[in-house]
Amino acid sequence: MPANRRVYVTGLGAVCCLGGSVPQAWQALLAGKCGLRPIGRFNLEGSPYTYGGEVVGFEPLDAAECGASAGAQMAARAVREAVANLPAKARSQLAVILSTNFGPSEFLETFLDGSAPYPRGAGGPRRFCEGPFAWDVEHVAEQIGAGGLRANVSLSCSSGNAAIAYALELVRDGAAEVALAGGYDSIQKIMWAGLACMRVMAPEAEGRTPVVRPFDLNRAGTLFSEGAGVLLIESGEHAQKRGAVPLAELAGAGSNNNAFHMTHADKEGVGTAEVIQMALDDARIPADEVDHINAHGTGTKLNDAVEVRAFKRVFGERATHIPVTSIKGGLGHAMGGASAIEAITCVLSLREGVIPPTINFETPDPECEMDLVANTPRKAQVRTVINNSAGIGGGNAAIVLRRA
Amino acid sequence: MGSKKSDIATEERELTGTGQAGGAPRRVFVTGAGPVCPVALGIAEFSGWLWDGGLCGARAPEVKDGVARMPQFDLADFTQTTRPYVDPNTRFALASAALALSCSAQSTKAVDPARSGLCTATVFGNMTSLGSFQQTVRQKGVRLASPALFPHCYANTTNSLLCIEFDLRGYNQNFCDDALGGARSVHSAFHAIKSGLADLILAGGVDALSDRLAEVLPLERAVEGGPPVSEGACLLCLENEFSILQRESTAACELMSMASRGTGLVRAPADEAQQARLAEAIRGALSDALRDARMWEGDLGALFVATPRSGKDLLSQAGTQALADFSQLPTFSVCSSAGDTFAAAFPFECAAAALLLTEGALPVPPELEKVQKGVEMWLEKASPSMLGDGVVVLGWSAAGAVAALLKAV
Repeated sequence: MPANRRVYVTGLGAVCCLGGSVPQAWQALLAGKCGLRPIGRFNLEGSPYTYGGEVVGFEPLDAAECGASAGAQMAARAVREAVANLPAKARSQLAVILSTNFGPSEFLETFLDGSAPYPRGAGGPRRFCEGPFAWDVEHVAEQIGAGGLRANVSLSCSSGNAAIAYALELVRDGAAEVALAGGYDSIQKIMWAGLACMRVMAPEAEGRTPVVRPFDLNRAGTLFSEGAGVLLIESGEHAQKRGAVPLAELAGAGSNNNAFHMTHADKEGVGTAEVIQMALDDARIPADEVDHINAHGTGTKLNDAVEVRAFKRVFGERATHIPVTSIKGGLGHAMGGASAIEAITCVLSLREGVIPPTINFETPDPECEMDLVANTPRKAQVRTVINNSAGIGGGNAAIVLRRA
Repeated sequence: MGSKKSDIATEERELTGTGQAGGAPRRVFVTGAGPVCPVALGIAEFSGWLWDGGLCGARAPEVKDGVARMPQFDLADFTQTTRPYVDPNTRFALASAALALSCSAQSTKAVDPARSGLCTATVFGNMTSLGSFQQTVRQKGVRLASPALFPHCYANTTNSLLCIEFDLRGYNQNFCDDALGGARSVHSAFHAIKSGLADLILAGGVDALSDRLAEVLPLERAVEGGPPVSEGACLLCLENEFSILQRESTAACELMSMASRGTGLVRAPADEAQQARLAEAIRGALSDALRDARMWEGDLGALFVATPRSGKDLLSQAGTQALADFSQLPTFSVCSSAGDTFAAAFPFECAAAALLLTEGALPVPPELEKVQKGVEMWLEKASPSMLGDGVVVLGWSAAGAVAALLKAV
C-alpha cells in the first residue's frame, strides 16, 4: 500500500438546475441566481409541494430504452465534462465511484407494480439480479469507456462526499490511479411523494413562492433538486506523468453516523463535529488551518442550528470567524448529488479566490452566529476548505480540500 | 467466535502508536460473525452446518419455487429494539449485528462509539418498504400517506438503524451495488481500521427478498442454472489490537490483505474477450492480495468463492479460467451450497473461512457418498487438514473482482 500518497482533483463536471456545465453553474452561483421553480416534468396535482430544481435543457432519453435512470444520464453528462482532458488510454483503468439516494427509482416503481418491461442497456435487457443500482454506474462507465473499478454508494444526502471519500481510499490504496467520484439524483414521482410526506420542504403559501433560506432566522425548509456533480481525482504521480493541472488537493475525508435518530438530528451536533474532525485527522491538518466551510445548510430549522453548533465544537471561538456558505438557496438540495456539487464549488473557491454567496439571507439567527457569506460573493484567499454534508438516518460525510 | 486464545494482547503491548489516523498501519482481525440465512441463525448453527457437510450439499436449504426463504424468527431474541416496524432487510441485519458482536467477545464492554463503525451493502435495498409506500400513496394520495414509512425506503436505512441500535458513531459506509458490494464493504472496513480511522467495524451485507423479487429473480436464475435465490445477512466483527484488548475479544483469524480489480467494461452476457478480461481481474486481485500479505500460493490452505457457480454463464466460466492454476486447492462456496444471498455472499464466505482457520481443518464430511451431485467443487482433492494456514476469499461480478486473504492466528 503506497503510504501517504497525495491525491489531487484534476477535473470537474456538473449538471444542475443552475446550469448544464461547471462554468454555467459557477457563474449562476456567483450571480446569486436561483434555479428553483415549479416542477414541470410530471403532474403534481394533489401534492402540497410543487417547487424544485429541475435541470433545464436536458431531455433524458427514454430510461427503459437506454437502460439507465435519468439521474445516471445526468451523471454521464457531468462525467464527460470531468474527463474532457483525460486521454483515452488513461480511461481503460479509470474507476467510477458514484452515489445516489434514489438511483433508478423510475425502474423500481415500474418493477414493483409490474407495469413495465425491464429496461434495455447497451448489451441487452437488464437483469434485476445484477442490481438495479449497479446499472446506473455501468451506464456511466460505458459512456466514457471507463474500465476500472466501479461501485455505487448510498448514504442519503451525504452520498456525494461518501463517494469521494471511498474513491480517495482507492487511490491512496493503489487500487486505482485515477477515479471519477460524485453523486447524482433525479426528480421522480415516487421519491417526490416520499419527500413530500416527510414535510421538510419550504411551504407553499398561496400566492407566495417558497424560498430556501439557509441559516436565516425565518428559514422554513428546503427544496429538492436534481443533478449530478463529479470530480476526477488521481494520484500525484499519475497527474504529473500525464501533465494534468491539479485543481486542488483532496487531502482527507471522513464519514460516520450520529447513531441518534432516523429523522431527527442530534441537537448538540456531536456526529457532525466528529466527522469533520475525522476528515481533518485523515488529512493530518489541524483545525486552525481551515479558512472556509461549505456547509450542508439545508434551510431547515433544526439542522442548520445543529450544524453551527458542530462547527463551534470543532473550531471553538474561531468558528464565528471562518467564512461559511451554503449554496442550497439557489441550487436547492440535490440529494445524492448535493455534496458532490458543493465539493466542486469548494475547488473553484480555492482556485479563484472567491466564495459564492448564501442567497435569500435576511435576518440573522442568534443560534447560527457565524461569518456567513450572505447574498454577495466574497473574495478570499482560501487555502483549506471543509465540505460538510449530512443526511437522513444520521449519516455524515466531510472532505478536506486544499489549494494545490 | 474462535476457540483459541490469541497472542494479540501480548503483541499489542509491544506496539506503539495512538490508533488514530496517521499512526502506524493497524492489524485487522476477524473476531465475530453473525450469519443469518435459511441454513443458520448464528455462528453455532453455521458452524454445525459447515462441519456436517453443508458445503457439500449435505444440508441444503428448503427451496420453494426456486427460492430459499429465511424462516420466521423473533427479533426480540437478538436485540432490544422497540421499533414498531422495520423492513425485512433491517430485521436480518439487526439480528446479524447482534450475533456478530455477541460471538466476538464475552465482555459487554464496548470501544469508544466514535471509533466503532459500520460498513454495509445491499443489492436491492428495502424493496418491501418501498412497495408498501408506493401502494399507500396510490391508495390514499400523498397528503394522507404516513411520513413514518418513507424513511424506511432509503438504501441506507438499514445501515442507519444499525448505527442507532448499536451506537456505532464511527466510520460509516454503505454500498448499494451489485453482489460485489458485500466485498467492497469488508474492504472499506479493512482499509479504515488499517489506516487508523476506526478500532472496530461491523462489515458485511444484507439482502431480503420482497415478494416481487422472490417472484422475478428465480426466473432470471433459471435461465442460467445455479443455486437457489436466497436471502439473509452476514456482518463480520473486524477489530484492531486496541479493540481486542479493550473488549477482551478473541481473534478467529487475521484479515491480512484485501485487493480489488476492475474488469474493464464487462457485462453479462459477454464474449470470450470479455470473459478473459474478467479472468484477468480475478487473477490480479488474488495476486495483489497475496503480495500485500507477503504470502505466496503455497501458503494457502483453501479457497472460498463468493460468486454462485452455475458452471454455464460468463461469471462461472471466467472463474474457472482464472483459477485453473489453483485447481489443487480445496475450493468451497457457501453461496453455491446454501443459496445466493447477493450482498451477503462474500461476508458469508469470510465467516466460513474464519471457522476453518479456527479449527485448522477442512469441512469435508466423513461420508463423501452423501455429497449432493451437481455442486461443483473439488472435494476429491481435499485433505482432512489444511496444508497452508491462509485462506483466500474471492468474489467477482461483471464490474470487478475482490480478494480477501485471511490467516490463522
